[in-house]
Amino acid sequence: MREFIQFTLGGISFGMVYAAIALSLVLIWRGTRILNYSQGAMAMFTTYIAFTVIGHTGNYWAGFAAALAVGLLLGAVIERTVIRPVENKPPLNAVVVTIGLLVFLEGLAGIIYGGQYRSFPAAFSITGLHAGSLALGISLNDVFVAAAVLAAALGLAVLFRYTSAGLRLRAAAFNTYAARLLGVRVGRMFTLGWALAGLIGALAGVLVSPDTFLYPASMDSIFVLGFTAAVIGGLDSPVGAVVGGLILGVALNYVGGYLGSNLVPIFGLAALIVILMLRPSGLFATSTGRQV
Amino acid sequence: MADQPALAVEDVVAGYGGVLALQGVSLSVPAGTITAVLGANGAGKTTLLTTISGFVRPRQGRITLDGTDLTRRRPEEIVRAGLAHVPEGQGVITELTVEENLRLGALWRHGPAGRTEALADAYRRFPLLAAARGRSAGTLSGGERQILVIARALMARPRVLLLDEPSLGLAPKIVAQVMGLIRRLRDETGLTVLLVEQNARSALGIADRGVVLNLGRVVAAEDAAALAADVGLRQHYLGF
Amino acid sequence: MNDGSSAAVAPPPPGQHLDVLEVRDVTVRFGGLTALDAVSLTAMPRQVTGIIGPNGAGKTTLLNVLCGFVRPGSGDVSLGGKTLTGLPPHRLASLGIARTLQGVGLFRGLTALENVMTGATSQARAGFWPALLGLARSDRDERALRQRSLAALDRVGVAGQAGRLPDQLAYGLRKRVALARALVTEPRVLLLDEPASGLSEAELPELGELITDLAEDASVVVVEHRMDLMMSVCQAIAVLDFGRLIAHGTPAAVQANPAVTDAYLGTEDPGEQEGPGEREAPGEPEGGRDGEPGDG
Repeated sequence: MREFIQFTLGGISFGMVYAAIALSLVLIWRGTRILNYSQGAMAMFTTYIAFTVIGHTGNYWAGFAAALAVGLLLGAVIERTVIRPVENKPPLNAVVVTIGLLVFLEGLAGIIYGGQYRSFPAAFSITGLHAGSLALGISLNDVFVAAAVLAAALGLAVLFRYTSAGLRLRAAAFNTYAARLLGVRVGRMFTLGWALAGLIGALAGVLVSPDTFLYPASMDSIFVLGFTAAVIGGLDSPVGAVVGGLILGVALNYVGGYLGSNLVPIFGLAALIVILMLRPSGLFATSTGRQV
Repeated sequence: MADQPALAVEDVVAGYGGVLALQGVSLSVPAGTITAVLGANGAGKTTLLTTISGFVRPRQGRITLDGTDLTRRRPEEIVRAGLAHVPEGQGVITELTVEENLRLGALWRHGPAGRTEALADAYRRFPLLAAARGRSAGTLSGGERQILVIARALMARPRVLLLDEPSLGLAPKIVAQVMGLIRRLRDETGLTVLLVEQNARSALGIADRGVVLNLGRVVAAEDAAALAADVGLRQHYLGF
Repeated sequence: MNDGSSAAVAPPPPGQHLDVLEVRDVTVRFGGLTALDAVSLTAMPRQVTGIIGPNGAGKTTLLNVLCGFVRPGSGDVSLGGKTLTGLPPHRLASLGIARTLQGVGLFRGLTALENVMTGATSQARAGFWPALLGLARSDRDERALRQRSLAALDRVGVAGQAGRLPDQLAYGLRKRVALARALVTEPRVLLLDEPASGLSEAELPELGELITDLAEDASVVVVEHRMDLMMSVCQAIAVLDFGRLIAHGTPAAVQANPAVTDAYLGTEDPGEQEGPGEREAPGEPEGGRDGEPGDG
């Protein structure tokens, strides 16, 4: 029972990271119907920026803020330059471009920073927490990770639901033609969508890097699992992204805990295959009647 | 009334997919009037509106709004010049609520205070929308949707309103209500309307002028009452 | 319709009565919308039957029923007495029903000839395994298919373009290739969906001649908007409006029928009806063509 609690709580923390990546993917998919294969690489890159800033200033939060700011900017720049030309082309073009971007970013990081594993600081203490005498299996940092992603998800929800920018974003995503007829500058909305995705991805990067260490390919497996989480939840559903992330995180933690950590990657991929075979539209799949 | 027409289309040639739907169309819409554009399917009526609102680039010709040349501008900019277009099929964003659809229409034009006022105006004029404000727009019936998209287009206080086949799919009684609404808008607010309709008689019942398109060309352009009484209307329309 | 000779070794030569396409009381509903309402009509063999009507009248839905894309809620369709309703499209294709689509619908990566050959694959006699294993049977089949496809292209006058890709052909030529693709199965019923769309005035007479020519071997059913074409090419015309058949007869009879004019131009003075309008809340529009009140 003790182990069960520990695995569950630990899984939630990791699951929130997958949820963050999943959220970024869903944001971009909903807005532009493109699957951003470079989402993980973008997050890796912004984490290196944070690493550099922390190195220079000695201040974690300066690095944290820098990563988020660069994430926002990077997302916007990428959409405007590289993605815009392929938005209305056959889907394969966008796949090629985003995979190319992935390779480019990882190569660039390797050139600038080298391939060695760097250790990346955590925001808070990583010693295990206890409830009385019960070891909970999570640390204060883990709680911070979960809270940060949850806050970001809620922030996005508020943005979409209650602001004019959010209304425009949704309109541009749901019905581009009607939105243009109402004066919405859909191009800017797509850029904004990518910028937000870049921001959330950057958050995921700094949150998970203390555990995975930082190196050019460090976000690759996180990306795959984030993608799996997005598919489980349904690529169109932000709520699904978060729930999918949690389910996956907890499930994989059980696998790692009870069966052995070397089985985790296999299970992750198996989960992806299973969901694509059984319910490819995801658990929260919506048909024509989307509720907002 | 200004001398220049609210909307002028000059010798426009346009089309897409290898098909030239408009082959030199000219028409002018005086301010504060309703002009009906009629013709059978394939005549080019919808292409005319999508060309005016900027989704299709004319290969030749000019389009002006109150004298301002709009010819090669993008839809988002044309809308901001004071033109509103309610497309064929209505264009209701079904994933949003009624109120969100309306608010969306007001965003570019008004600041927060203006939006609230515009929304209040819309609800005053269209109580049925007020009653449905929180509902998903996808749950509205055909007639209700048509009212919604007209109200939504009006949120930005346009100079000229383009309406594409508002009667399509609606019961005759509802068509009469929609047509009555359009006429009242012209009478009470001086709105200029370019109305594309398949149902010639209802459109001519409220229009000031009628233009008939056939195969991408204007084959008749006269006072609406005269056109309605014209024995040759069927000939213009159907070719027999 | 049994003519008693079904026990013969060879199938009886197609007589007039075998190829009559009959549509009886077909009704199609999509949710609350009645797309077709008890429509009945007959298409005689070796004749061109036209279907016209305003936007939204149900013309394409009717074609979709005839080629099996849509199942009618009630009513039936039969060809030469054999019931077709409910059969899937590929079965209808092998029974001799062929259709062209609105727009063109050619496969971009295949040449004109290959496009036409895709139309005939239901007639290949060798199956999957011989093709996979490259048996001689499959090669023979392929050669025969090629011949037939070339003949179809020739029939519509574009045999010279056989090796070209669709992107290299003018719009009018692409439409002909699509027509050849429908013809290669030597259908008994040919359904043409707006064959004149996108063609210029100058190309119409040729299309008209082609359609007349095609009717020598099949019943041709044409959905079109171009009245001049329909009036000159059809022997019978059916007019749909709001899902109902409102006229059915010769072109001359249809032209003279006031219900037809009304359908296209609208009925008298609906604009004068002052409904309670938008200011009085209880007079909410009910919407929906069948007058069902309330939400959709």
